[in-house]
Amino acid sequence: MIIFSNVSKTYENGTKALDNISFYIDRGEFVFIVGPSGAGKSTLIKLLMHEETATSGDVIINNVKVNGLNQKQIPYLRRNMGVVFQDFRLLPKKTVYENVSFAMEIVGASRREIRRQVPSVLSMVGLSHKAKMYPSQLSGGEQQRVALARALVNNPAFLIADEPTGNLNPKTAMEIVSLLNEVNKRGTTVVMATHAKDIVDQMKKRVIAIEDGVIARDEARGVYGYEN
Amino acid sequence: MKINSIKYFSKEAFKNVFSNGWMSLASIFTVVASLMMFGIFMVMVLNINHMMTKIEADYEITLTVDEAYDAEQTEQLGKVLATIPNVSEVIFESKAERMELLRDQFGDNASLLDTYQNEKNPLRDWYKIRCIDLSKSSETVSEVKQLGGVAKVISNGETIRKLTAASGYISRMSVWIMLALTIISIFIISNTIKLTVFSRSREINIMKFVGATDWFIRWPFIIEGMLIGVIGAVVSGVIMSFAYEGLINMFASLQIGFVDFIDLKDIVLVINLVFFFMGIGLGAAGSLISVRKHLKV
Ligand SMILES: Nc1ncnc2c1ncn2[C@@H]1O[C@H](COP(=O)(O)OP(=O)(O)O)[C@@H](O)[C@H]1O
Ligand SMILES: [Mg+2]
Repeated sequence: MIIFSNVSKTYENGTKALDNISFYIDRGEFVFIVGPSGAGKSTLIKLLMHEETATSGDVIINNVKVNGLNQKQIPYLRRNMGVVFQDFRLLPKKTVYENVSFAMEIVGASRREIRRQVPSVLSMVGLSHKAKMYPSQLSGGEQQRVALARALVNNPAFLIADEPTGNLNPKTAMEIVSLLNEVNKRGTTVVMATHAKDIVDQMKKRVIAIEDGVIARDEARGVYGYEN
Repeated sequence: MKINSIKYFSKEAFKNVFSNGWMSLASIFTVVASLMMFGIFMVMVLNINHMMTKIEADYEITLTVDEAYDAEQTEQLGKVLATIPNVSEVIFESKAERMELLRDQFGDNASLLDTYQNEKNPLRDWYKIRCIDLSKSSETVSEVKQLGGVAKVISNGETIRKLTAASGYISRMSVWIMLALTIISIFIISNTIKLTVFSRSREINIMKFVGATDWFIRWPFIIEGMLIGVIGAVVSGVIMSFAYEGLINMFASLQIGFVDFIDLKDIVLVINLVFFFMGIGLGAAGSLISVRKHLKV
């Protein structure tokens, strides 16, 4: 589960990105974080990944106080958490297969485990036939699938996505979200920051809306609620 | 470290050395230049020490025995000399033996010495003594001078002490210079490697988001650095060995007596071993330094 308890984040330049927000996300939930640009969605995601630390309040993931972790513990937090970004963040000099197996190399998986698991996730995201290609040879949608495969290969408890469909056309975007939904049905908690109205409205999942750093709405089967 | 990870790190390191071909070449060149500079000083210090050891080993104090002393008294003097704590060896040469040696040296002209045989031998018996501790030779000399039956003491201890002091000074200076060279080299190498690390800083960033520990990211760079270091060491080892051989041959042909170099076969292993470990160290340290600031994500 994920708990934000009175979390505020003020950047070094004085910008207050999050102002005393609290929410609870249960295991197995699928949650959209929505809100206009600059509302603080990415900041929230960064706090989850410990790319930034909360100025005050607590971020708790699976009974662990994330803001209390030291530098050495952060990698282990991230391994329990698949992350997907708008800009894919694939390693350009590695093939599709290697980009995914990399996540397993990190945790010291055996050759055997890698050979079993990587093809399986690649097939799940529908990219088995492109395993030997490099990211630059793939479309945006395909690159995001690779990123998704990498995020999932270690069976993380959480999947955190910041605008994963931001660079994709509507059809491809919907395919990615369907995959996320699939992953969620297998038990992974999914948190996705987005401002894709169509997707949010269609999925009818829990929506936490942020405006100016505060929670404006938190609805169990919500809609996007803004004009894009 | 897990075996799986070691394999992965090595594979990454080899791939990186080749995919950053020019940068690797530049780094290797830097390593070679550093090792050569280091090596020149090292070879110099080793040879100075070698020559000093030889000079010191040859050092002896010569003392002629008073003509008034008979054979028994002379022998007694030798026993006394042997009891002096700083004396390691006592060698006796009678005046007859010395005359024989002199005749040997005269060779064909030995007949010139015919008139100085037996009773007419103008030479005196003498003792040659060697010191355990050269730095205390002047004390030994004055001790010897006070003994009865000693006519004259010949000692070039002062000259040798000056030489020893000078060579010690040069050696110490060289060690400092070598240390400075090493530090400078690490920084130059780290700066060369830094360029390749910088181009990979986004990759490092991505790796950290996926959950890689700092050491997981560092190891391929370190191994890459060590690889570059080893290649640099082999190249400079070969160059240095040939250069040394050339130097020896040159001096041999000049026939300068007192210059006595360490044999090539005795120094080649030292040069190459030192270069090997220095190369590995320089490469690893350079990589570690250059990857350091990219890890803060
Ligand atoms: N590193 C940063 N330093 C200073 N201000 C930042 C930084 N990142 C984001 N901000 C500011 O924090 C606010 C929230 O940004 P962000 O979380 O990126 O919003 P969103 O993802 O919802 O568009 C914005 O005003 C933004 O300018
Ligand atoms: Mg954002």
